[in-house]
Amino acid sequence: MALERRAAEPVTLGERVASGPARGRPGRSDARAARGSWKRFASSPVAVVGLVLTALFVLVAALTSFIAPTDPFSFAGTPFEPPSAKHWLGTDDLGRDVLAGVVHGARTSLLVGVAVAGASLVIGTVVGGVAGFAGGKVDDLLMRLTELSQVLPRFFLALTVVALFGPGLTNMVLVLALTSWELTARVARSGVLAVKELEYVTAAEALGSSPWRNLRTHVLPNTIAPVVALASLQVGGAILIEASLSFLGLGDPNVISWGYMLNNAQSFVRRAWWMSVFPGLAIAVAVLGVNLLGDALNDFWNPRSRSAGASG
Amino acid sequence: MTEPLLSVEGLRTHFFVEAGVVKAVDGVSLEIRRGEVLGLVGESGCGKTVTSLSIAGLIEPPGRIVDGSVRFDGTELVGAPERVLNSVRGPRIAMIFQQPRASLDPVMSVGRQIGQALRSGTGMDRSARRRRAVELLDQVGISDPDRRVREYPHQLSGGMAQRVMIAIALAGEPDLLIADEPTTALDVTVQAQILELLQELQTANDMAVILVTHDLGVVAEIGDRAAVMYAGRIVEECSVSELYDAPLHPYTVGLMESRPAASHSKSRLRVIPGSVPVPLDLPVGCSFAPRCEARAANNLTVCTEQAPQSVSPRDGHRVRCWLHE
Repeated sequence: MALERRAAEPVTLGERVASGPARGRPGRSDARAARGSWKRFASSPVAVVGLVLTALFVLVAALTSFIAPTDPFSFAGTPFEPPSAKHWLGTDDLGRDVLAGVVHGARTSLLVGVAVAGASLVIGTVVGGVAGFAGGKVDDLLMRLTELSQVLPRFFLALTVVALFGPGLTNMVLVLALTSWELTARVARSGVLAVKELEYVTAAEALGSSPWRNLRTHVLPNTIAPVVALASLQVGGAILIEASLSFLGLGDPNVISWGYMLNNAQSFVRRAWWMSVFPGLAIAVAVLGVNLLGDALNDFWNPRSRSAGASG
Repeated sequence: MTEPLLSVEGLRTHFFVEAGVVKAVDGVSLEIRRGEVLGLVGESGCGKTVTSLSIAGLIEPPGRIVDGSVRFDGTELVGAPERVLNSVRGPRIAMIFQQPRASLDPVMSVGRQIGQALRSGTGMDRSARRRRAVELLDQVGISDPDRRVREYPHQLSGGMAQRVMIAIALAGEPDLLIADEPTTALDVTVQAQILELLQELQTANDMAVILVTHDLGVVAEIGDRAAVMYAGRIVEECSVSELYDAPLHPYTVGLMESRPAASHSKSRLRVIPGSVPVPLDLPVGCSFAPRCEARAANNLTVCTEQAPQSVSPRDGHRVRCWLHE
């Protein structure tokens, strides 16, 4: 059985012909192939470190109420308690538990990061996909729009919006989402341009598939991998901007975040190092983790880096 | 005689590129009746594939059908809206291509791809489509269809991929199958199997087939009639037996003579001198004239001055050549 299967899949010319983004995704369902993909992914140290750090970040955010059930804004002890058995990461100037703040802050950061990256993925795929597939005037119009969005300075736009409409998580996510899709749109467009010329798209059309169904069922699934990898890299960027804005006091005052904690800590850096070190460390670890994971996904799905590595 | 299933009249498909106008198809007329197998033969670049893509309405810019008509079962397809074409492609006209593996979506299982083809038109639900997919795979001679239906294109061999393509094409139970070099990319032994399968299915479903190929052997194997193309035109159209026994056009004669034959294997193969004209710069008159030995032998001057019309020296045998005017 195993032998027969092996004989049925030689790497032939036909496979090499179908190179490009289409080959970029391991769309296999049987367990053997899935195990192989996992092995290849896990063989890179970057991927493993990224995955572990990201998992840690997500776990903390998900299990907030188990790790630190108290409200991070409530008084937990006397001010400026150094790290101890009772308060692992110490307390701040108002006697609030730093651990509770770091743990609840993870939730905020993850929310912002995922919401922004998700919006960027959706908007970028739709805009880029339609532009690349339709071509002509539609393409021109959408790409000029993309360029327009590209030249807007994200950070200052976010600053302005928060200053105008007041600080709030929703505003921040909205403005970041609306300014972060241009890269995903470009990647999606280039992928679609390459895939739509491939034979299986023509073949599907020859069998009565309408252009839009073709785009949905054949073109996008074959281009989405690098777009997802790119979007996962944007999680880190969004976390950093959220932290920066909160650090400048422009975050949502009702929601604890790492940037807010750093902002609060800056007057007490010498007196209470733990107030700034732990939230800072949390930002570094979270952003590093999601970026490494994004890089690893990018490499994993990139057909060029794939051929250099193990191919079978 | 009954109305032909497909009739192509004066089809011209040109490609407007920077260097000029490439007249890939320049006045092709052909007819095919229900249940008939037509071999469309010619060298690379003579316009076979563009002809078949034009029939299916799959010509994309910079190409354009500039003139002519394609009538399929009473419906004009040239200039028809995309909606009409989409309703014809699949359930009425299906097409299979040269590179079977490249014609299958790499991220979709075989079953889902057949299911896609079943979706248009038939009101089958998911499980019915799955059952039909297994049936179709069985019909095209794939062993263990229950397992294969879950597999992905990279797990199939070339011959199996072509069988899957044929299954997908058959899903809509088309009246006309356009097979563009269906066996060219396959091993010789597999070629024979695929041809046999095509013939079997053609007879069983009473389907008309346009078989595009450069391989005269393939036409001899399963064709009823043959149309020989040269530089965007059909130069000769006749039954397969006449193609072999009494070809009229000097190009066809040359093609037949340049085939290796078992009987006189010692002698060198004959070749047609010269090469196919650049489609950007077709000669005035008959496009085969510069290579034509018969013209030189008969000292005909009209060949390089005026293009010959299609004439019918025998019943059911059409040819475009001044020698037969």
